[in-house]
Amino acid sequence: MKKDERPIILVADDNKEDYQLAEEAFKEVGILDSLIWVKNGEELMDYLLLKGKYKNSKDAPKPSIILLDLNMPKKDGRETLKEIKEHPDLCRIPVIVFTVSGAEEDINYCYKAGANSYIRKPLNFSQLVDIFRTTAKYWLETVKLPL
Amino acid sequence: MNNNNEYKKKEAELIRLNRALRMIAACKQLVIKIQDEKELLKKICQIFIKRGGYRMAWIGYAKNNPEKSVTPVACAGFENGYLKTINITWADTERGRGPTGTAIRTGKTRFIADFKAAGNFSPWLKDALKRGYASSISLAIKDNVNKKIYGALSIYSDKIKAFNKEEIVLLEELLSDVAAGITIIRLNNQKKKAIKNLAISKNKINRQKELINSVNEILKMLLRDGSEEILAQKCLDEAEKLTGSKIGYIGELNKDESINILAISNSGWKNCRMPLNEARKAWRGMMLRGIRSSVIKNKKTIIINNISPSPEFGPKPKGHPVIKNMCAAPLKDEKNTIGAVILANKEKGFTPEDTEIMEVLGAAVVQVLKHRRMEEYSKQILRSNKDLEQFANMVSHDLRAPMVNINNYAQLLARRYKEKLDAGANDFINYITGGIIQMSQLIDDLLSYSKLSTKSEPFKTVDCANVIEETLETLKPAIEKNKAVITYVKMPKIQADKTQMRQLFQNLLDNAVKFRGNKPPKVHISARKQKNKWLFSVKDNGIGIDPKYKDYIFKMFARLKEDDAKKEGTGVGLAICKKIVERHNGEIWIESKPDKGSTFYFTIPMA
Repeated sequence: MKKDERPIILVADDNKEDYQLAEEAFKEVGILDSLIWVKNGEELMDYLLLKGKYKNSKDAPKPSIILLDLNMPKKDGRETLKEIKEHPDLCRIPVIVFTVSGAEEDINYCYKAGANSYIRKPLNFSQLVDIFRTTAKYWLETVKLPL
Repeated sequence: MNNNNEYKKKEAELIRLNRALRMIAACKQLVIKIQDEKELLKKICQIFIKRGGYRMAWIGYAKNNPEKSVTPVACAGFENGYLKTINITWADTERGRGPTGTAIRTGKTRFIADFKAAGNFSPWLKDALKRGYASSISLAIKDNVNKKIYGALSIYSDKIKAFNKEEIVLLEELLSDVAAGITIIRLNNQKKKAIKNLAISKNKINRQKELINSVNEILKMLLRDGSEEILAQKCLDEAEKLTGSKIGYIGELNKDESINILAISNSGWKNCRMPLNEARKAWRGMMLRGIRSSVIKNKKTIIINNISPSPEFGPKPKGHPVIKNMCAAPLKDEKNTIGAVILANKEKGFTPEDTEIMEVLGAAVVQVLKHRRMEEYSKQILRSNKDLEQFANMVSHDLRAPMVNINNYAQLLARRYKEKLDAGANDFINYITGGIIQMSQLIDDLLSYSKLSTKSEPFKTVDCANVIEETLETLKPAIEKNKAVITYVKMPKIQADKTQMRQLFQNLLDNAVKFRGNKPPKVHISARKQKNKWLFSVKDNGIGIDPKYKDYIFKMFARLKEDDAKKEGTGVGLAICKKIVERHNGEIWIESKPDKGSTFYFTIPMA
C-alpha cells in the first residue's frame, strides 16, 4: 500500500484519553498511522472544508471514514453530523457515531440525520478491539467507497 | 170570638212564616256573596238570632275521626259556654242520639218541641234549661248533589213548639243551598291553591333555570382557561346577580385560620377609595371572626337581616357601604369547610331561596377551584418529570464516560503488562474492572427505574405468551449456562405497557435463574382469573428467602448478601418490578422459605 493510499480514519473527540484509547485499539487490530485527531466539530469542519489551519490540502487528506463523538465543546457531534450530511460533497463520507450515550433520542437523531453507523463505546477493551476490527474490515475492506 | 181567635192565630203564623222567608232570603244572599266558609257560617247563625229572634244558633262539623266527634265551627246568640259542655258525637251512642248527632247521622231534620218532654235529650237538659233553651231544631247541612253531609245547624228557642212544618221545609231547602255553597267555596279554594302552587313551582323552576345557567357560565369559563382569580370572581358575580345583593366576597381559609380574599364584589366596591387590586392584597390573612367565623365553624348557611352598626363588623375602608343585612354560606370540601361566600345588602333582606343559590354556587366555587388547582399540579408534575428525565440522562452519560475510560485503560494495562506485574497488581486491576462493571449496571438500572414514570407508554393489548417468549430469547445465555428449564401454561392477553411487562418478566425470570440452588433451575409461570384481575405466579426451586424479608426485597438497593454483590446485582430489579406492577394498578408479593424455592405473585386488573 502506497503512502498516499493509506486509509485515513478521522477521529473527532474532545478527550485525549478517548482518542488515545481508540489509537491503542486500532494498533491491536494492526492499523497504524491511519488515525487523524480533531478535537471538536469546528475543527472537523475546517479539516473537511480545508479552512483555518487545514488550508493546505497536504495537511488534510480526504478521510475514508469519520468516527464522531457526540458530546464535544464548541460544535457538538449532532450539529456537525447534520452539517456534513447536508453538504453536497461531504455527505458521501461514511460517518460512524462513536459515543458513550445509549439514549434512544441520540440513536434516533443520528440515523435520521444520516449517520452510517451508531456504536456505543464499550466498557471492555477487548470488545473495543473487536468493534474496531469489524469496523475496519467492513468500512475499509468490504464496502466500495466513493472516490 | 172563635173566628177572631182563629184569625189572630193565622195572622201570627203568617207573620212568622213571612219572617222565616225574609230570614231565608237573607241567608241565600249570603251564600252567593260570601267566599269565606267560616264567615258564611257565622253570618248565617247571626241572621237566625237577629232576624229570627231565636235564643242561640250554632253549626257543628262532623269529623271523620274514630270518635266521630262534632266540632262547633260557628255560633251566635246566647251561648254562654254551652258548646263547651255538650261533648256530642254523630256515632250511634248515648251522646250521639241527641238532635244534632242524629241529624248528622241520618241526614234528617230533628225537631224537639219541648226539651223537658224529650227522652233523648237528657244528657244536655240541665245545661240547656239553665241557658233558657226550651225547644230546638237540628238540620243536616247536606250537599244533595255530592251526597255529602258537612255537619248540622242547630237552632234553640226560648219557647216550646217554636217551629212549624212550613218553616222546616223552607229551612231544609236553605241548608241544602248552604251545603252547595260550602262545596263551591271549597272547590274555589282548591282551585286558588292550585293556581298559587303552580305559580310557586313556575317561580321555582325559573330560579333553578337561572341557577343552572349561572353554573353553566362558570363551567364555560373553566373550559376557557380562566385563572383561579377570574373563576372566583365569576362565581361571586353570578351569586350577586341571582340574589340581588349589592356587596360581598369569597374568602378561603388558610392553614393558620386566617382568610384570604379570592374575589370582591366589583359593584359593591366601586365607591371605596382603595383600588380593588390593592384590596385583594390587603385582605390576605384576614382574622377569622364575626360572621365568617360562625359560618365556617358551624358549617351552615347564616342569614342576618337586621344588622345594627356594631364594632363586631370591624373597621371598613372609606367609601365602604354600611352593612344592613348579610347571608353567609360555607364552602365545603368533601370533609372540611375551606372558606365562605358572604353577601350583604339585599333590598328587603335575604330569603331561604338565597341560601339555596349560595350553597349551589359555593359548591361550584369549590369544584372549579379544585379542578383548576389539580390541572396546575399535574402540569408541574409533568414539568418535574421531564426535568428528572433530563437529569437521569445527563447523569448516566456523564458518569459512563469516565467509567469507559477507567475500565478500558485498566484492561489495556492488564493486556499489555500482565507479564511485568505481580499477581497482586493483576488482582487489583481485576478489582477495578469488577467495580466499574457493577457501577455501570447500577447506572443502567437506575436509568430504567427513572424511566418507568417518565417514559411510560399508554396501555395496549399485550399477549403475555409473546412477552415471555421474547424474554426467554433475551435470557438465553443465562438459561443455557444454568441448564434452566422454564415452562408456562396458557397466558392471557392483558391491557399493559409492553416494554414494562417485558422488563417485569425479565427481572423475575432472571432472579429465578440467578438465585438457583444445587439442582438446575426449574421455573414455572402460570396465570389464572381472580374476580376482575389476573393473578400471575412465577415459581422456582431456588434458594428461597426468609419470609421476614418479604417486604424488604422490593425496596430500592435491597440486597440480602453483602459478600456476593456481583451475583446479587444492584438491588434495583425487584424495586422496578414493584413499580411496574403498581403502575398497572396491581400488587406484587412473594411466598418463600429458605431452600424451598420462591413464588412471586402479581396481579394485573382486567380491562
